[in-house]
Amino acid sequence: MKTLFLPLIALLFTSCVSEYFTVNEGTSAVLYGKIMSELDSVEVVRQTTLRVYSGGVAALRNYNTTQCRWELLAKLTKGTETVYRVRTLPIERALIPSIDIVYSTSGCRVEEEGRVLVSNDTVRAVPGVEEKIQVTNDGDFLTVVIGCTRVFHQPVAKPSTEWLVVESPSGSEVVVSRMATEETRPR
Amino acid sequence: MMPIKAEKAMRKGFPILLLFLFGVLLQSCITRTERDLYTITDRDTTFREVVQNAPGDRDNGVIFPSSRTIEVQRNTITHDSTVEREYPNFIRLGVFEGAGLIGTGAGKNGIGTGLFGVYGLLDPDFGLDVSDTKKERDVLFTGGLYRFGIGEWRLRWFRDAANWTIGTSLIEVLAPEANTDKMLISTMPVYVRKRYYLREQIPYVAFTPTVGIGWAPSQYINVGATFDVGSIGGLNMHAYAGFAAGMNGLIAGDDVTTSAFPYFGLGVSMADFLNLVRETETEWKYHEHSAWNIGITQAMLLYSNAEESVIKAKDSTTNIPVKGFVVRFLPSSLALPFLEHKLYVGTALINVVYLGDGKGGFGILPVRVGYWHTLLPDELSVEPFIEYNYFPSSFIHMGGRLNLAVSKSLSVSAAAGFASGSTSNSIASDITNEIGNPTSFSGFYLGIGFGLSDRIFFPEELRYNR
Repeated sequence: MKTLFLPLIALLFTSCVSEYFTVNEGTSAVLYGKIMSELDSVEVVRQTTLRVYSGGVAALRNYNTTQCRWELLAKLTKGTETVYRVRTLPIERALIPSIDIVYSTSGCRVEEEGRVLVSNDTVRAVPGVEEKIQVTNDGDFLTVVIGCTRVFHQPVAKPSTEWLVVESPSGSEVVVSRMATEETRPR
Repeated sequence: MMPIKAEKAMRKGFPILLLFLFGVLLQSCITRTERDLYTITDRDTTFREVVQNAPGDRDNGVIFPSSRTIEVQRNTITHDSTVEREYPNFIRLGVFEGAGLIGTGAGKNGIGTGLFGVYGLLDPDFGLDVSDTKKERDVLFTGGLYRFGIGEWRLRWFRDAANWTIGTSLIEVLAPEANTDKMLISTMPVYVRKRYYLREQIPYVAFTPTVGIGWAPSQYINVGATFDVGSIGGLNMHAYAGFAAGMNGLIAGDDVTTSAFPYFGLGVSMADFLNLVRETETEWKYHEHSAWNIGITQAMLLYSNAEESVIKAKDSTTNIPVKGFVVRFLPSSLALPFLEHKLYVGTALINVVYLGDGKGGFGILPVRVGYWHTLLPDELSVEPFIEYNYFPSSFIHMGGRLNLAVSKSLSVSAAAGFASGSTSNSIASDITNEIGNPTSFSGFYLGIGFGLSDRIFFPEELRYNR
């Protein structure tokens, strides 16, 4: 009877936690994640790479650290754009509307609640090509570097949070790999 | 080798540890806590101008250095702020579900559970097996379905198909007839349900196909569907159709009995709360409430004009001030859209009012109408009410109750009231004859009491006021 009982109970309680994942498990750069869209819209490959399908939203959390530099390689495999949201929470976005970094094939822009803070149409996503994206939270300064171009370096009013949210709008698909963080203010 | 005393201590402590772990697990399945860290940066610049003029005359016309100095100080302060938010982590959480089933067997072998499976509970012939006797019996609700401590959680499968749940209950009883050998009982049966919502506003209306298995002490499968209305204030109504089949492997020992029966029924569930997925992403404090009061138990001790106390020992001459009691199990008071939603209609699974020895009655699902008025926000409220208990006793109960919300799960109250009616009525005199003296009673009372797991809501918490 125990052999029947235990898997059933395990099934019961694993159903509560299936949207959570970790990347870089076993290293010092472990990141915690949560799938905020349909479970199948985000795939975690070998705990190092995220494949965010059309309509997918993956939230990454650098636990207990808000002052850090996020670094990742992004490859647009389908569609035209990817949105990276910072200084926000994955749920209750109404509490803290995010600052959105929109990286598309027609250029990139940084938006705050629909207002364009900066726009750069020379830094473009090239489908199938990996590009390094750096997002730095240092006090109220937010710095965004795509490739070798610093596209944004300004103070923003929103508080820093532990989260970076990767979102593939409908019709787009992105592969995010080599995710790493580095504290900007050593404790 | 472990000393015998230590081994005994461990054996005693093990159930407590298990209970503690179960409590922690249950808590995490009820509430999900999201803890987030923010860093807020404040920049501040201070300008300080100082002019120190030397006393005496100044030689005008000569270039003279000003004594003014300006000191600029820039400060950057970053401070962290941790915010905790609590969300419901379940789709359904309930205390009690009962249903009266028909079609499970012949009327003479039936249990007599009554409508919703609850009206027959106080019947002395409830579950009476007359198969080996000459006693005649013919009941409509031959079977019953009872669940206690129900929980359901979101099940994310089939490409995240909507409204699937996996759930269980502490105990489930499926009884097709009075013969207990045919009864199917399980602790923690596992159920998978899919809800098709016909109405996604409170109260929800849903059609719910269900499949479940019980594993101990009976082993069975239960396949069916329910038509559900609710929850509103923890109240739900269900219509059932299904088929259950299994065996009593662990109860019967070597003499295993099997049981298979179709069923149809009507049921009610109380203190039973249903969430849509979107509500699991709404903080507890922003949740919508439809009732002024929901609870597990309310109890009150009464001083009344009855001659004898219910707790007075026979032949005792001591005059006890406590004459009677009022107990309400699973009460709920729903706000009505009149008089600024202060008018309410309420009920309880079981209501017991005893003013004194032999002077009182029972009510199953009584109808209560009242007016809820808040005296002190978040603390004190008063409710004049009138309540009609129609079964198995028949009496009117009216009064006023002052409620103090001590916490979100505890309340204390004081009341003054009047009750008048008959312990028995013509419908169920056989029941009340067994319970007590079939007498008429009438009297006033004063009472003080408490509510356990009793939540009192205030105007700003009602969904109508948001």
